[in-house]
Amino acid sequence: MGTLNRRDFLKFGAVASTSAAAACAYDYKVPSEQVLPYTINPETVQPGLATYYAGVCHGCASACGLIARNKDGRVVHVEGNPDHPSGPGLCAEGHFDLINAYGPDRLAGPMLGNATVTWDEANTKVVEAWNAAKAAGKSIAWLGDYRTGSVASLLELLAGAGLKRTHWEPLGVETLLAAARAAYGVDELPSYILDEARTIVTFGHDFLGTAFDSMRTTKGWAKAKNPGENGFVTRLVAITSRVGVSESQADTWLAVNPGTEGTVALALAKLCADAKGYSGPAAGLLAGVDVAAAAAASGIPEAKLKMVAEWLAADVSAVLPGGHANAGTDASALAVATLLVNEVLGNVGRTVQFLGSKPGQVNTYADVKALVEEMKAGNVGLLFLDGSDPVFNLPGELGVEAALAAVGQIVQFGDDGNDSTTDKTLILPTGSGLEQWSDANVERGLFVLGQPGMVPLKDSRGLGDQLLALAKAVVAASTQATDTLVTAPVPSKPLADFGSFAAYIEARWTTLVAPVGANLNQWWTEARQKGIVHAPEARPASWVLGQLPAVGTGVAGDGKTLLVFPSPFLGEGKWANVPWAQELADPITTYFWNSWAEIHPSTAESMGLGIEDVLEVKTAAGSVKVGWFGSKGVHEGVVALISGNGRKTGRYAKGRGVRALDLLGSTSDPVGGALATLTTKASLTRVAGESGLHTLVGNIDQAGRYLANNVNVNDAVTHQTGAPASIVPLHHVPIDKRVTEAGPVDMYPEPQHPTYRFAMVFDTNSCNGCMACVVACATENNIPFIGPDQLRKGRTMTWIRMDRFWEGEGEDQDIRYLPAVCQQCSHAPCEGVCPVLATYHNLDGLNAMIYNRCVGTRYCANNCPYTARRFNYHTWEWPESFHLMLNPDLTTREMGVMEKCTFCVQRARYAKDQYRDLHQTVPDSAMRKLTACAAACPSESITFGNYKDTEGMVRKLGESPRAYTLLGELNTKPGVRYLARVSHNQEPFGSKHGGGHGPASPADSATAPAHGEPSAPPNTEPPAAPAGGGH
Amino acid sequence: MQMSTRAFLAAALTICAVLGLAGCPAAAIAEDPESAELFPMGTKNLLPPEIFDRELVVTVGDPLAEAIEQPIEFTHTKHVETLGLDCNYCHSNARKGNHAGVPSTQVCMGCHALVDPTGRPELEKLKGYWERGEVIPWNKVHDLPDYVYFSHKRHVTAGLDCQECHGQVQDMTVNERVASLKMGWCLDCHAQHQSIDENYGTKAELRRAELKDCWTCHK
Repeated sequence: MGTLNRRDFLKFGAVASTSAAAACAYDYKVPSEQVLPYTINPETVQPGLATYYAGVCHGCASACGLIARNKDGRVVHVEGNPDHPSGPGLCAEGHFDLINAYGPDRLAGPMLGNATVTWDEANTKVVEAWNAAKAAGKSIAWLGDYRTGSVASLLELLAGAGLKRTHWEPLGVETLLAAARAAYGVDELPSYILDEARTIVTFGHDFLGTAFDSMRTTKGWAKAKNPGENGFVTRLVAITSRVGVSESQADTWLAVNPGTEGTVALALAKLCADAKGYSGPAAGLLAGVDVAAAAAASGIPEAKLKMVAEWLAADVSAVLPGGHANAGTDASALAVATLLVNEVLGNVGRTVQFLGSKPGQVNTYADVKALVEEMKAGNVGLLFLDGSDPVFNLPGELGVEAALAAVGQIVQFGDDGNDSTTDKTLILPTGSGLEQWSDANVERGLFVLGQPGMVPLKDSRGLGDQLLALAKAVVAASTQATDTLVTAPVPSKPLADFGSFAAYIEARWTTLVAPVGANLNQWWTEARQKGIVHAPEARPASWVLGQLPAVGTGVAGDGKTLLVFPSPFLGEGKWANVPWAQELADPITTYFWNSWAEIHPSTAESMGLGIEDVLEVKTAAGSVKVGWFGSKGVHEGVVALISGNGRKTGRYAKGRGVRALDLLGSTSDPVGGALATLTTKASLTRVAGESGLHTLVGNIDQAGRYLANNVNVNDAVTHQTGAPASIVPLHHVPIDKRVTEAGPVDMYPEPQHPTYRFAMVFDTNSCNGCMACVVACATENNIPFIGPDQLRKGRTMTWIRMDRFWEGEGEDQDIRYLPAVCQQCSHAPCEGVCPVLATYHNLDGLNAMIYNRCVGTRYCANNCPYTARRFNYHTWEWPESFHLMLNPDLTTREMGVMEKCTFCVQRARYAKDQYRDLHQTVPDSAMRKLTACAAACPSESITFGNYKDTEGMVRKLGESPRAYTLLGELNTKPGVRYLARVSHNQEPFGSKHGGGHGPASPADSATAPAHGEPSAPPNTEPPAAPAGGGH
Repeated sequence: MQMSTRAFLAAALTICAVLGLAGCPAAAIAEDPESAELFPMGTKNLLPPEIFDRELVVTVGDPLAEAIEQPIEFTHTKHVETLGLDCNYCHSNARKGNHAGVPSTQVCMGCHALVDPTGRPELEKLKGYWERGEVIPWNKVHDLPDYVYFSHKRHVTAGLDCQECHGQVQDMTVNERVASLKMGWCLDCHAQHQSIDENYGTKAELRRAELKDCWTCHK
């Protein structure tokens, strides 16, 4: 054969594989396609170009604004609305809401039990049931999620006609609301504005995760952590008995005896009041507080409490309340105590503001309990369920199933059934929030408007439209709604005159929200375009509470205290049926698709637990069998159990993990009325079996490597401007002098980047592992979910890998997140080994990956030092109807093909195309949030741009003294830079123990990250003597 | 026979490829059944082996030998030659976006509302579609593979005539494809088309390099 060239080889290979493939009876036909034009082309739609609609995020009660991107008739991506106070950025839950719209379990139409019914039949049935209940003198009840805006207004109308509303969510806000009511006499939630806080103390509030309004707190915290903008870096102190997502960012973690957080808060209030010389209305309360006793009860030394009080009193600070994980019977007392600390510190009106934040009517767990009792007594003739899943989300002790059976008729709004669906439930599909008109008003002066982003996928009708129809049928025709927010009759015409919910919203908005004298047509058009009307108004509040809150003293009994915490992704089961939510690795444990218990490693050791062993957790209420994780961030006396899984219904949720509520009784907080989850002790036993828990992570920490780096806070603040060199205490492989003397030596020729050198900077300082980027990347780039069996084999497909490194232990333990993507190296090890040139370096500085050229040798993945490449072991498929969510801007990959992060090349291509029309290069302002991950990041930690633009943000950040390249010693010259985390515990740069990992001296950093364009040779200039050097 | 290193490597690779491909599907299917239902995966969509064989290529192949039947016997000659319509009048998206598109029925009816269709079966068909509000199911003549990004706008704004790719459409009573639409055919122009020099002047060399980047067209 002599000369076999590449092309012939490919042909030969192809013929050979044909014979192999033929054995699988495999048929390939290219379908002949049609081109189907509109009959009437809508004015705003141009085939092939995306249309953007402002909307309301229905992921949680916070109701952030979002922008939905409609491509060829389907919403394929969502991003945060930058005009909203919590935007830009959108958390993972916001993306789950998009995915849920395409869920395979979505009902095709209304259902009565297992039978399909028409909408007419369904509506008649509802009205009949309503009238029957009225006639029988039974009550008509509503149990649902928080609702604001026009839906709440319609519910108010129905309430006038006899509907008894109960709005309760498992991760609700009733505790904090009760606390604000008690302490300040206001019926609204305190908003935590953390931007200026020098010290933040949290008692478990999941302010970077599942808490209400967490986008705002995440943004504030990220801003307060930015040494460049402020000249300070906030210090986070967590006083909790478990380290979760929010606590993982703490500089100091004080492990508190579970249930004694309230006494600690009061002790801090006393210490701070003394330090500040507080003499306000609450001064008299603190006389009896015994700091020494609090220290003894909580297990935190008095000196530590004094230290924290000193930090708090020194400057602007904020104290955050407890969270759902540590909600005991004193939950509202703890919340009041934290407000008291803020009060004595003078934070109220500054970091704690009253902006009128409230997600509509808020009922307590105690109210729900009363409703269940009423149902059991057979007094409820008609029950509406809106988003609620009482069987799953309420403790078994309440007997919800029996209660539901005693209800005359249950009407459930929702796109699929849940654990509470019975065979006589009438399910009315409401469709996704992206398919219908909606609005929200969770804060004074903040109105969010959502218009439909696409036509409903299934035969569903929006909740607003259904309620309007119901109201027309059961409310007296002459009734006019009055709005609860603004005392004006709204709308000013009878209900019967509204043809649709859209018209109702428009009437409400143009009457209530529009400024007086505005041109309403023009204003309404603008309102729909922007989606947000925001005129914030903070109101002063003064302390009214005349007694100390009755804080708890811990949980009595033997054994470990049971702590039930919400899953950061599944919430309280709400997203358990979203496969991408199940697939995300938990930031703390890195487990997926399951439930687990977290115990202290010493507990595991004393029990002799093996990694695969199963633990039986038993309480008076019941027992569950789960796998375990030895967490250094769990108090020794605690067993922490994740909730969210254990559902009985839902294709992807069914049979996964355990239901944490099975271990809890139905105790509630007597004051605040919330369900108490921190009330019981649990016994642990090792039982036979395999846990089924798996992780893709080999090490708990960095094993001495220099991947996620920390810098000292003083170094970071003083080195912000004009510093020539890095302050990152990177250790470098000693370089042979013979090499350095000869100048830089490279294996590869320097690539040319004539116009762009696309680059990205991750600020690990404000990355809290929330995974929003991972989900956003998955929806943008058609990344499949693959399930636990395949994940266990290490076949993860997410292009962003969230590395979690857990350094140290105890008070100063330090959890670092490192989002690892393809580093787009200039000297990429992957490129040279590809035998078919499917991957190569392009003129924009990207490692291009041409899928249909790839033959799947996997040499590139073998050679990538960052493990950034993902191989398709199968042709992953999107089950009906997930496939409708696929982004047509890029191909789906098939079996045998390598894929990886492309820096969203399809978006860059579109941006270049737009600016080429103007004969310009893409400006920095259009590039900063160009990629899906950068657009999604709630803490704005990801910046994208052109490194050749010397004025660009990415270049400025990339040249920051905190910048470094991952595995820089390999000289791969990546296009990705990381900014080191700023820590209050890190030794100053240049000190003998710099880096906390071993020696680091200025001489060591002689080859610190190269500045200038990533392709430039390493900077051999020694850095200036660090100002904060602590020799 | 002396075998070069390259040929040797290639042969070795081929053997690996054959073994790998033959072994893979069998192993892949042996998953637990519930998992396969929840997480469907398979081997389909694998690059068709025929793609490597010039004679068998269907979509990405040579000019079509026979004309494609359309739901309405539409003639470009009549509209362009006789009536003098500009291409952009109907294909107005060509200068604005990726897809040139086929005009909406409303655009057809803009003129045809004034033309009496009596006794003209093709016009009757058009009127029928319009009155029923039905979509006219045109069959694609030019179809690029799904992994190709193509922007009409870039080509139109670069000053290319439609005829350069689509042939003398104005003379066609039945539309047919004249270009192969193969990658080599695209690259021929991307390497040397005169519009590059005209539009980019001193930067033409850079533009030619950019146009040869795989990611210009592959997605």
